Amino acid sequence: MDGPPTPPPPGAGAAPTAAAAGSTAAIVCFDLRKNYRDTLALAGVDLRVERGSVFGFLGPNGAGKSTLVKILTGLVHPSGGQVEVLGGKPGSRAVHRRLGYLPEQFRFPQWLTGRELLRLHARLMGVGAEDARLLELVGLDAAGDRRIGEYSKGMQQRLGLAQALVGDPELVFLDEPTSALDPIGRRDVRDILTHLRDRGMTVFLNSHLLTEVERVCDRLAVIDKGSVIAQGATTDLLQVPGLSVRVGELPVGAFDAIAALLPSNLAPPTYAAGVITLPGVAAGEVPAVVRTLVDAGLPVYEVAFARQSLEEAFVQLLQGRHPGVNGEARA
Amino acid sequence: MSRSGRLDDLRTRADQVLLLAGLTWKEGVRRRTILMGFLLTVAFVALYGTGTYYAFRQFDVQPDTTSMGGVGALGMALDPDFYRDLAAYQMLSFGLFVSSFLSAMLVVFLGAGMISGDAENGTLQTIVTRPVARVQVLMGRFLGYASVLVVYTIVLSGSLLLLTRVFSGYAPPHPEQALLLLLAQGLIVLGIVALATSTLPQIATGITGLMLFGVAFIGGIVEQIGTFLGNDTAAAIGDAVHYLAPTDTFFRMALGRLTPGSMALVGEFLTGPFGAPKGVETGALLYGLLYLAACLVGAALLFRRRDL
Repeated sequence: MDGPPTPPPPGAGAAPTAAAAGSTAAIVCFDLRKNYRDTLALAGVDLRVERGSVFGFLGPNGAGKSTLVKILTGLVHPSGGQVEVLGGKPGSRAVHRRLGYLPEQFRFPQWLTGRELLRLHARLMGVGAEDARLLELVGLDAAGDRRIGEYSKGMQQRLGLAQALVGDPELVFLDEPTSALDPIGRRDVRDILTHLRDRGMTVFLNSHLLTEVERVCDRLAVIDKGSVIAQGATTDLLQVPGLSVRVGELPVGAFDAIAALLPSNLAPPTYAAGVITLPGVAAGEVPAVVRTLVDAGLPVYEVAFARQSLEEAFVQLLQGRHPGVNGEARA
Repeated sequence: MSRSGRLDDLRTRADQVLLLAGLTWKEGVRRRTILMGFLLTVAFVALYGTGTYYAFRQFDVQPDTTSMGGVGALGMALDPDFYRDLAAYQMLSFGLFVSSFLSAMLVVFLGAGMISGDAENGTLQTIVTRPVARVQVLMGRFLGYASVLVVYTIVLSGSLLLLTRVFSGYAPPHPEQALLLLLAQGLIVLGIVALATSTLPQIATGITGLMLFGVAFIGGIVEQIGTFLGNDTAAAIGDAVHYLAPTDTFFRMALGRLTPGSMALVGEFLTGPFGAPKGVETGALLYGLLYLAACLVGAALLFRRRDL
């Protein structure tokens, strides 16, 4: 792992500068800041994305995800800090020639056909027409000659993905690419992303669909209130083992009483949908935990070590930073 | 970069600009705005033509010269076609005022979304992240609408000039120059719109474009009245307004290219509600061109700095 394994503490001098990190990374940001009038969108972002990875960028709504992507694509001008994309300045023609982008809020001219849109973008990129291949890739080959105005939202999103891949870019930014897709569409996009990674393309994926990110991204960063609060390999961020105990429906209030009985050295347990999750339990502690639950009169149907889901890791990261997050997770 | 490399690069950039300009026409055809605009223009021209035809078919009746006093007698003495020419000119000035107003409306409505509308609805973001400079995008959009304006103005105002010529028999001295000045007027409106749309929201751009056009028109009337009454202050105010937006100046210079020489003696009678004709002045021409250039340079600078 080349990048910092844990987020550097605020003001840490160890973070690499954009200039020093250069060439091998697809994206390097150092102390990147953005103010919109009097609101702070990015409060000094340090980020490094290696080439050839599918990079997941997570964060709650309004955390600054889209602002960062817009700076990296040259749409928004940063207020301060350093940033380098594919070894160049974001927004320059040389960088744009090697980049693809699907914005979160996009709209294509409704009076063009899907095929015409892809040809338009191919001409702007200065590459030959590749509409047939791309339409097939995203499963729109049958609809290519229909006007975009007749497309469903999901079809427009598929077309948006095809548009982002015009010119076989080295780096693709996808801002919420699956928000309008049904489960089949999501699986298709996941397969496409995996295929792109296998071909060496770098994918920067903004998403709040955590299960998607967990399945396709090999590295990720979490942003909150304009700062990156965690970044690293997906497996590293999810390594906290958790013990899940299926106990069935609990009467209201019962969980809090039981939680008080558990060994106090453990991290606070959570309860959802008939399963109690206990993070940070070592194998040797399992019998004691089970005994406590059984003694409390709970039926124990299943006990398993589960890798923490990204959702749980995400909630844990944001706990304390947002008063509402903990309550939402339990509900 | 080698010389041929630079030339290739320039050609690529020009191709991209033309590609974006062509989209304006494609959109017009696909969304049937061009068809509807054409049909309604035909209706307007047909109405104008019918009016002109009937007005001048019965024009062989000579008006009572005594009721018009000395001026009428003077006119009759100068030119036997004096009344025909006066009526034809008035008709034309009215028709051209409407057509130039329609051109301005067209430009404002189409152009207001040029940058801000497309930025607001998310069309622009995938275009400007391609290897095209923002100034190319602006140029492509501007050229697209400018070409629509040129075709529209030539078809509409050109038809009015032609119909008046055919039905009244009056031949204005410089119709082609008048047409060029009307085109310049429309392009200045488009320049204002381009500048506004680069930084203001779509609605605000539309309002700015129409208001400036209206203010310039009123400024023209204030100046006209001031001159007529010999009120220097009013004339100066009206004149100053023309620096804010020189559209009315260009319209009046266009009218000036359409008045026959014999009418110079009775200039005040040509002062209709649509503006008094004005001679072509190099200063005014130059100011208009600089104004347009400044609008476009300003638009390019603002668009470059804009967060999308």
